Amino acid sequence: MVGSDQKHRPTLAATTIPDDILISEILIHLPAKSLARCRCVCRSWRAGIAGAAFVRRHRDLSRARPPSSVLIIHREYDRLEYRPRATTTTEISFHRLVLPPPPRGQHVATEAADADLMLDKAWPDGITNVIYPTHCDGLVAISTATDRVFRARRRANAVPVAIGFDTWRNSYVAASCDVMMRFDLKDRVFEVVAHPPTGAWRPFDEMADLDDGKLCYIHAVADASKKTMGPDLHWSLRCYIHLPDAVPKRPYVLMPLLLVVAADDGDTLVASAGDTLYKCNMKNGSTVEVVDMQQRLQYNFDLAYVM
Amino acid sequence: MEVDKGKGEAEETRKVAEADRDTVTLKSSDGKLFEVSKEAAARLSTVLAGMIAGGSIDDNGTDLKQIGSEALENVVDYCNKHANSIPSAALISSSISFNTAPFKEPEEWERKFVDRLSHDALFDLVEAANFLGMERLLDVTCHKISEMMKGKSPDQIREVFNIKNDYTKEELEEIRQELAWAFYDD
Repeated sequence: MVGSDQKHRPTLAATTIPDDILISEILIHLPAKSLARCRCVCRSWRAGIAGAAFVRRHRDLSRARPPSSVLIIHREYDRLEYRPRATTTTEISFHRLVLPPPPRGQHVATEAADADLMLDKAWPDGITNVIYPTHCDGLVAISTATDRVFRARRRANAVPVAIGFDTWRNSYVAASCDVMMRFDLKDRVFEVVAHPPTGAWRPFDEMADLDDGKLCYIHAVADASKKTMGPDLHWSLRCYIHLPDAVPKRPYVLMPLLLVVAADDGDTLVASAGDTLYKCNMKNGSTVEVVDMQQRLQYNFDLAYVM
Repeated sequence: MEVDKGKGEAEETRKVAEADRDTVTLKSSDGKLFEVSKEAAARLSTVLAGMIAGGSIDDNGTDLKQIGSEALENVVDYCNKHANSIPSAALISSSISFNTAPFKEPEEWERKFVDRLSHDALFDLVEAANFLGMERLLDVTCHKISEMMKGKSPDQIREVFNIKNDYTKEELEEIRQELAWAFYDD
């Protein structure tokens, strides 16, 4: 298929991967933005990426990607009496909500499919109804209002309030209260790193690795939400998103989609406020209401944590 | 002398192979011998599966002239680790993670396996996996490489992949302008 033109294969001292493998096995899986940068690398890459077979396969793979989805953990407590810390339940369940494809131009809260139950777990010791869930690499960490932390796959000693993966440094970064720690996968050590210049940590701050390989720290400011990020933990402001004040005095929870459809190309964050789910475009700061969970999902729960 | 030494080792492996025919012996381009679980080799490599089925496995060490000893060691290591990995653990993790991209997500041990490799070793392993028809290993190594590429500038990519920039300055400027959207946050 592609890569028939091998004349331009660079031949420097160290090992190189043959162009045909690079193009048909590696570049084919990159999101559009990374792919565009690859066109600037050299002539043979540009030719390979422009080939009809490549374009067709890249498009098919992008379409075959599962649609964006978010994880919902709902907890029950009395919304009016905002002191549910002491109350516990002995069950926790995780639902997956598949988001409809990006609306074409107009504001529509599209028909949402039902949320499927992914995991229902009994916890005889009881989990407080107020939880701070975070996720990274399919791993869900739930820090409770008590001093215990539950993880869906592993137990942790620390209390992570935000975790993210820094692909540049190959390390996990966890933030909790005023401390931000980095766990290097090579040296397998923790190290304290600089906190982004966002001021005090807030319970709704989040961290996530974005599609372009950068680590992102999402900081919730009083009535709007700001997001900073930096590859080497040199933090820089990526964007500032104003969310509609749908539910006054209710904090927003902002988080990137675990899976981002190709058309979004890593620029989408999902925000939940009360029962409404918003999709935010980081590039232009616009927000679109995706689904009103109260209406569409018919839950009897008062609050859902969405990730 | 090198040949004699190779034969001596092969004699030994043959004895082992006769006693326990669960393994096959592979020989790298530089003459080193490696043993790998026959079951894992056949399951993970279409080329080795074909050779085992076709009876073209040489007990003295099947020649793999295209693969150097470092890459072959990694291939064998991967096969043996794969043979030992516990399938139930894989099932548990996949039922919780719903991050199912077109790449089959690497397991945690596979991630660690490729993370410890140098660039050169990783690139050699891609070629070896491709040559041996090891789809899963090719996926895992290519997944690692595509992760390395995300968010990098063309200059950084050239550096990592040791590629010569064969564009003229004018051409590059022209392409960059065409693709300005891809560079907005650099």
